[in-house]
Amino acid sequence: MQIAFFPGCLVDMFYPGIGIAAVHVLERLGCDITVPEKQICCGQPLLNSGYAPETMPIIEQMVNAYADYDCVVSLTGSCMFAIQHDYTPYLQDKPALLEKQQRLAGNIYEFSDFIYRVLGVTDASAVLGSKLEASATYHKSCHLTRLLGIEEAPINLLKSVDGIDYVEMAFAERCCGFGGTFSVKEPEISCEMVHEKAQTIIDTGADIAVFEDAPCLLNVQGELTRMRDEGETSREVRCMHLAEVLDNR
Amino acid sequence: MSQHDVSMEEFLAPISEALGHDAVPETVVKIDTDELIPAHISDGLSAEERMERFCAEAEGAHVNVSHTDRAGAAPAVADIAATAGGSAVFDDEPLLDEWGVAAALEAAAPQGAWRWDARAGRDACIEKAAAAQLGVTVADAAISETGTILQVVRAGHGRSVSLLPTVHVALVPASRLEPSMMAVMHAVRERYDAMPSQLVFVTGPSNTADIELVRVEGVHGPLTVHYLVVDDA
Amino acid sequence: MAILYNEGTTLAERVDACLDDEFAHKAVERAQDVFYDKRNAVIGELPNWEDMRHAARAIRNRVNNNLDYYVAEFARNATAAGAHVHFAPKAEDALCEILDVFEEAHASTCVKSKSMMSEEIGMNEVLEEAGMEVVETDCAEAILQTAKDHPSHIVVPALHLDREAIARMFHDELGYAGSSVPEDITRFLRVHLREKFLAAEVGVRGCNFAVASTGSTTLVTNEGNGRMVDTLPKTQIVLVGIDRIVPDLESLDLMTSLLVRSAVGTKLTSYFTVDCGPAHEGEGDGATDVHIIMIDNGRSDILGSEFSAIERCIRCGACLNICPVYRHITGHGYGSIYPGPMGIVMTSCLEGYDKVDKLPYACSLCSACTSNCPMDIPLHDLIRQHRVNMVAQGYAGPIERRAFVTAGKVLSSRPLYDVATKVAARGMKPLAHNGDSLGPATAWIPVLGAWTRNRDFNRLADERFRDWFKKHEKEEGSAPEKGKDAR
Repeated sequence: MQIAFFPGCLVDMFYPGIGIAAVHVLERLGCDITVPEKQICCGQPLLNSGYAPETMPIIEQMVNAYADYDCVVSLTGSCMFAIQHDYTPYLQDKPALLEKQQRLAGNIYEFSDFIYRVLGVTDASAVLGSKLEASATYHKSCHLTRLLGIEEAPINLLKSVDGIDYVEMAFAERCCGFGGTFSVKEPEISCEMVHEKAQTIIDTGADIAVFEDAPCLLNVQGELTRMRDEGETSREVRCMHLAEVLDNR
Repeated sequence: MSQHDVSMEEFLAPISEALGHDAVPETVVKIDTDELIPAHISDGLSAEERMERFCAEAEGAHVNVSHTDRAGAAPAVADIAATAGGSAVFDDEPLLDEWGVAAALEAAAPQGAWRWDARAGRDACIEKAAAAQLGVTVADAAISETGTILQVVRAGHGRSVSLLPTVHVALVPASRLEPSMMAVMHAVRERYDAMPSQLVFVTGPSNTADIELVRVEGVHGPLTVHYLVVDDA
Repeated sequence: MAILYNEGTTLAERVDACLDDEFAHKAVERAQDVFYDKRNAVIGELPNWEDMRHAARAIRNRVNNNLDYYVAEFARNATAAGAHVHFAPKAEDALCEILDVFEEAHASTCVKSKSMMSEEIGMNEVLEEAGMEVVETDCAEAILQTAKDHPSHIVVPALHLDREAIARMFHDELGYAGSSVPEDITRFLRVHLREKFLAAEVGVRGCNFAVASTGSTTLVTNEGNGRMVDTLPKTQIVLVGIDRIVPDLESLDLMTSLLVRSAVGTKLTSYFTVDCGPAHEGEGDGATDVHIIMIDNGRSDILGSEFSAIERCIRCGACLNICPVYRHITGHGYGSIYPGPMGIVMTSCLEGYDKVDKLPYACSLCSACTSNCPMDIPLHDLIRQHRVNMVAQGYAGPIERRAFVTAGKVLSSRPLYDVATKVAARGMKPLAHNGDSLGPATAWIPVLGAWTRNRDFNRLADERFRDWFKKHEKEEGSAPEKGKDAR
């Protein structure tokens, strides 16, 4: 199966390992992967800060990069939602681009949803040989869970990994406080939020915290590291993307 | 400091403008709320199941629920009146006479019972109700879905009877149980040509959680509410 | 009070103050958790919550799309039922009408049940200045009035005060001699306010829903103070925002169900009253003189804007109860009588961007509000729309604007992106400690410091994903491994 892969700029810059794991997993499932040269960023940082006209070149770049593929897999839920829905109102006076974006919107899938629903893989241990001896909790990221309604896929895939002991965290669907530029525009609020999220993760006693969206991982990992460094917790919780867990054999 | 009164036309103009209307529409397509509103849980229940739900919901709303028949209504109310002490007020309601509740109340309330009567004058009515320990009414309808009763305010049926006394007893004729507020609204429309001045839906005693979210029962209305379900089949 | 309080403070100042208030912060966290469980329980029992939301959205939209018609219908029917209907385009007009009613009734005392509209138009201050006694009778509002404090929640506005402080304040101000047990304080208020109810000449109240087809006004209350206000004073003033209208009695079934379940997590409140005109002959109590004041105060402007969906709002507070930002900064962080997500949208609409500082940015756009809203209002989208408007109207600083313009260029050009990421990766590398983390030592760096003051940041990778993938593609060549594990 031919797919065009969209890692998201955060994975590209900060967490190439997550992207690599995702590529390995998808290739193992028989996907023939392309990463278009032109792709960079979905534009959310600008769009969510209110810079709509300034986002136009990014939207154009993004839509043109992926519009010609029949199947696009996005590694981050919020990027995918932006491409699918947030672009639409800004393309109303650009019919050609709008048409391309609408086509793309119908052809784009989120990573876990693609594996679980489109490829029909429900048992990662059996199909991928995924294996990790650890107790794991999962953070339900905002866009993925609420706006895209993808909840079953990542959790069931995680649970199906051999050796994983799944523990649910309290208020798993509560925002971690990243919110793109929110994290640096309103750092005091953002830090309160991520602190509470990190604490609920620590409270589960899990060895690893699993994320499906890399931005949340960046945020929570930063807080867990700081809490440990400052002696607020002695627990060492490893943050992993689901792709990394699935890639582990 | 009276200045010029704003007319309805002046008031509506900016609204019409915002909506892109040249003028206030003379008619609009009727909104069929009956069609739009989804079914209620109680719609599909049998009469018995509805009664069960009504009682369970009422108890969940901290109402004391008990059952009796026509003959048992008077002694049951008398019991409550004796326990409550003080005086009682009750609605000028034919059923209370028919079931002997009015007479029983007059005998049982230690400091007497007073039949609501607007002819006594507004201040006297309010004073009587405010001084009473017990207020007795007959529910005009009941709602299975939420354990709610309806008191329709009308001549002989004041607002104060179910509000000012410490204890409120509502006799609930079983035949008046409806599945939902929707069904009750249909019934109200059918029964009254003109809207009554007030429909009061009661679901349990007055309460608050305004201080540290601690539930306290009995704020400005009754501290205790009894539903006495009367099998009137 | 009007909509904004603590005017002149910045969002940052208010947030700092709120985060320092340990009790209020914890109280709101606990309240959210309590509401969360209660709401889920009463919504969980319904098989068709989503259908109910969609029906409510449809009904509210259809009313609002012909609001001029429905306001006229409501006013006509209320008048026919014997109420006096007054029209107030602005807060000042409403205040004039209210003062007129007091003057005509030769009244100088009033009891009030909780009304957001009365807060919005700043009624208490104006009446008090005119020498009237205004008594708040909702427990929480009575507490705030006595403490001269501001609401921190639209449904439970005294959430931020603890019982000891409340008992102490009632002792100092009203001679309360009892304990700090909530039940004791409440009983004291019952007795204290009962006298006020019996003596008051005017009752002032709000209106949850105004029924167009009958001219009825409705009130949803638990404490019974709304009923007292309806029952005892001879003159009654009902404040009705034009965004309160529903078409008919039947729709109240759906609206109350959504409102009460969303607001307090029960199925119905202790009291729900549907009033129509003054008391009739033979009833013996109730207001004999009813004045309904229809208030626009900026709502028609919203109706014609991209924010019209907020006109569906029924003030249930469900968005506050789930908002992870409200959770920490509490109502006072917003500095508005309308806090939380609905508050950001409403306050910015009604007060304008000049007055709200960075309010629309106090949101992580997590969309929890949107999914919790019983009226299906896309709250987080509307908040973002406020940001778009603010930037377009020049409310962003020049430095920020330059940064975003640059980001727009870099993130849409491969050559620029390549240069930027390579330079930044090289720059960050020496700043990292224990591996890839940037710690508190980097807190002096603009923007990055906002992040690293309180949490670590991951440094940029030496090799980007795309660089790896290019090599990987070449290595794979004809993709010998591809598909090897496929089913």
